Amino acid sequence: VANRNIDLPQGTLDLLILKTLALGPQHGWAVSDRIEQVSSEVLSIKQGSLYPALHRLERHGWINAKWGASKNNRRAKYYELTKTGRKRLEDEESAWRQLTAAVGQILETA
Amino acid sequence: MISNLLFRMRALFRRSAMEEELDEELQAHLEHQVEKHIFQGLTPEEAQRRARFDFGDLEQVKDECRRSWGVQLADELAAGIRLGLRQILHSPVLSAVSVLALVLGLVANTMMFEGLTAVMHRLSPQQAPASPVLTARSSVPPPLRPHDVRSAVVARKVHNRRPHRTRSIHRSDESNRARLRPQACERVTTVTAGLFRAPGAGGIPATAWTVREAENGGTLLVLISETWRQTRLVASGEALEMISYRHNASLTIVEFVAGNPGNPQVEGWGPLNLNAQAAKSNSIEWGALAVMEQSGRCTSVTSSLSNL
Repeated sequence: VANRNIDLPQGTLDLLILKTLALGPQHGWAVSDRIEQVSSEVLSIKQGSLYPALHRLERHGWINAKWGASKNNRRAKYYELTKTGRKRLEDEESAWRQLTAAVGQILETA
Repeated sequence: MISNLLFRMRALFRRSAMEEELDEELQAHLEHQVEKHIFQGLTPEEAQRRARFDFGDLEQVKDECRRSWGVQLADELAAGIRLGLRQILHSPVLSAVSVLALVLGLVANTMMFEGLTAVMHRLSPQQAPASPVLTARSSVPPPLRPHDVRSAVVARKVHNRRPHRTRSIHRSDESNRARLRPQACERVTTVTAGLFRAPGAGGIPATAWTVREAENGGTLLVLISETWRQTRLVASGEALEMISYRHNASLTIVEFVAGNPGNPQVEGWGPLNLNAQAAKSNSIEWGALAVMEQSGRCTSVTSSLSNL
């Protein structure tokens, strides 16, 4: 994972992918593009990280993959969130919010 | 869990399909990226070059993906086997010599250690203490607990299932001893549960004893060692208690006493002192029990004593 100025913390990529797929099924390139767009191009995910992460999430059963046609009528592998994936997303999101709140609190008060 | 397993199975047994899908997926990514660059104003050639550059090493990405499939170990094993087979086929003579040397080395090592073990087993009884120090027991033994009485009865009942009966109890002592030598072990029933209490040793399992059913329906208890044998007929209904003596960490002698469960202090304690004296004078050694191992069926006798 690379970016312009900020290193993505370890383990955050799974959370970002799950959150992106929560909006609906998307193929790998679209996931990467969306994360880049939403983060105002602060975060850029390299393919060497994205696809292994997608496959790992699929192996864990948190996302499903199926082939379909993309907008430009190309065959693409679409990923969608499963029920357990949604639960996982909730857990990870909650953990992330707790972490950032705690870090923020320390930065403001210490 | 199940999805994980299914995914791995698919990666193992439908590898070519997964590889094709991976190729197609990464290719689709590249094409999407090229289109994006063209949309941003680059020429198709420039967009292609830029997309390739952004993507990085395609093979490395594929390797990363394969690792995420969770079958890396199987992949490496298969690759190792393939490499090994290729090398064997490349130089069969050298491979045969290597395998032969390896086998010979293993056989030689096994034989050497087997020999050493046998020698150690033979030598071990001689390492027992020459003059054992016996710990004296108090002159008034504690009364038997109901558990002990029940255990003795259980021991007898266990053995009652055996069809044959031993007549040796009516013979002379010498005759009895002859019958109870290790080679007679095959006719002996070993008790596999802890049935007796041993006040001196904090509990000795009954497997230290062999039990025979005597002709008159009583239970004959036998403790066998190379230098000392003790047999005693216990009539039906009698209670049993084991007394043990220790020398350092090794058990040197185990004695038993038969008594009346209603009044154990009165009956059966007489032989205790006599046998303790006999044990002292005979320098009882437990190591000789290793001989019993050869009969096969008495392994539990040996192991339970040596574990003490």
